[in-house]
Amino acid sequence: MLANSQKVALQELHELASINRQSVLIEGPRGCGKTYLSNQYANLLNVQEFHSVPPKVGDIREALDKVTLIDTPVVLQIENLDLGVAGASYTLLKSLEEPLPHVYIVITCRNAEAVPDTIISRSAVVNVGPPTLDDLDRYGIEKDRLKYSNVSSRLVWQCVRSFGEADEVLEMSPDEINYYESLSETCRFSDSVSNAVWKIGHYDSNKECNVELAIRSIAELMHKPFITKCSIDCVRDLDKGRIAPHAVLSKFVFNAKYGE
Amino acid sequence: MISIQDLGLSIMSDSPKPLYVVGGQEYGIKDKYIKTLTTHYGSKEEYPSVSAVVDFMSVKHLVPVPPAVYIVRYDETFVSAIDAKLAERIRKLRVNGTIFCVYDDPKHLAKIDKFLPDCTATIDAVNPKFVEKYLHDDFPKLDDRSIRIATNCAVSYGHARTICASMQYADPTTLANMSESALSFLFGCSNAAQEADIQRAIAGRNFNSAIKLLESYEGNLDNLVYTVLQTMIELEKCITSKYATSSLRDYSKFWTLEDVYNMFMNAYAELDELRSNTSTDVKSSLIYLFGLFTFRHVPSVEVMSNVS
Repeated sequence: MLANSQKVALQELHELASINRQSVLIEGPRGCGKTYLSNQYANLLNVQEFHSVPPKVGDIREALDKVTLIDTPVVLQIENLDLGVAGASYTLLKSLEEPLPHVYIVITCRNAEAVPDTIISRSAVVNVGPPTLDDLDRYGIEKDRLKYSNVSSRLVWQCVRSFGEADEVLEMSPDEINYYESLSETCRFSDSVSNAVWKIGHYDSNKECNVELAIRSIAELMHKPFITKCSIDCVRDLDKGRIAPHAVLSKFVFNAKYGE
Repeated sequence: MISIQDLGLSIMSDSPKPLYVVGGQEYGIKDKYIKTLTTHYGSKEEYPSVSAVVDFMSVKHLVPVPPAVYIVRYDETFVSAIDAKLAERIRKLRVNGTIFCVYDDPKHLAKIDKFLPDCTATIDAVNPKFVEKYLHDDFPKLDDRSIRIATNCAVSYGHARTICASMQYADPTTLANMSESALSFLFGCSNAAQEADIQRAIAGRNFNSAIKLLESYEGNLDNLVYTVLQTMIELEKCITSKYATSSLRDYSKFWTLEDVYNMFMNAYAELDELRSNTSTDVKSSLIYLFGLFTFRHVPSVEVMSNVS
């Protein structure tokens, strides 16, 4: 299924594939389908070999070394380059400047500002927007119609903002779905911060929950402008992916309890 | 899927269920439940697969089978074979005892949970409070300090239990004479020991001591920013709840809730800055943070951002 938010990006990728562009940078928020589009680019190029590489210097170096040993076309997807250290970007530079004829590099990132200019100037940049609510509904129906019909009216589905989260919600057990609605009890913040963080961050079965969904659920349940502001602030931090989710959750609880 | 609490209550009750399917990384708790069931029935038997136990139970025996706990580990054939029919057959099976299936990867449990939700549970992270409680029950002779060290050094309850078991065999006088840092170091947790010292220096608002410890710290300095955050969370707990147990309780008198909040927010802002800007020096950030608690009232993030 192709989301509305991905249609323009796919059209751009189609044009880039037609000119055999070897380095592409796809920028978009978490869960907008960057990996899906990278795969589509490989399909448009008619390349069978597709490898995803984390943004670590060692992994990138190893992948680039391996592709020199083969001569079949290959697409290397460097995932979320902006989350890696600067060294990861510099490792890529030489391959972008003098690409091997059979190697295509697709870089994905959430924030192009955090990617060195030298990488951006050597790549064709494609932007993808976040999925719309309509996209998410259509995705849910296509993935699991029965489960979607059970969760579509629930709070947790209304807090979903990405395809990744939609997948997660569709896999949730009924207890886990109910959990997000029961957060109204924890929202009173009468507990200490550490207890509140533990309660919010874990399902009753002690399994860790999705912090981002929990924070959005609390904001929806409480309907207070200050809490909404705190939640937006924390969700933005989570989206950057630089700080551990439980540290972000602690900040949210601290702010909600003492910040006003 | 049932919760870890319901699983524990069911296993420790007088009539455990005929089947439990337990997944997750916390092997210590699984082992504890197997021991509980073994004590309850008086014997345990290991079987290679669930189907082997089901076949054994389906046959009529001339001599009645004594009650036992039947342990089946990592049976992937059961995961692929489970469907509504097999689940119904298992439900109707008259097991003289309990079948206890163990898995590591929670993915294995997803399918089983679909058909047998009332006997499937996953045990991954156990709250350190529960770990301490379990260790107190398992090792009644060990003091609070030893239990706390084991909890802090261990990555899981199973690991903590091994540490406690080794401490139980040590000479009590020698153990009592060793410092908390020395014991943590002994159990391969030197950074944790140093972090505990730094945590106390922060909680005591002792700038000189914090700087000295920072100079000698051997671990990743990034972790210390998280240590500052953790210290503030602990102090907030001590200030807001008089019943909360914490090694930092004595230091809470040096802090007000406003100071704790401001210190947490400053540490968080520094962490964000460190993660956003690769040219920022972690050590300088930590010295800046330690400097903040030397003020009588810790300045807020807004004040400090205006200063810089």
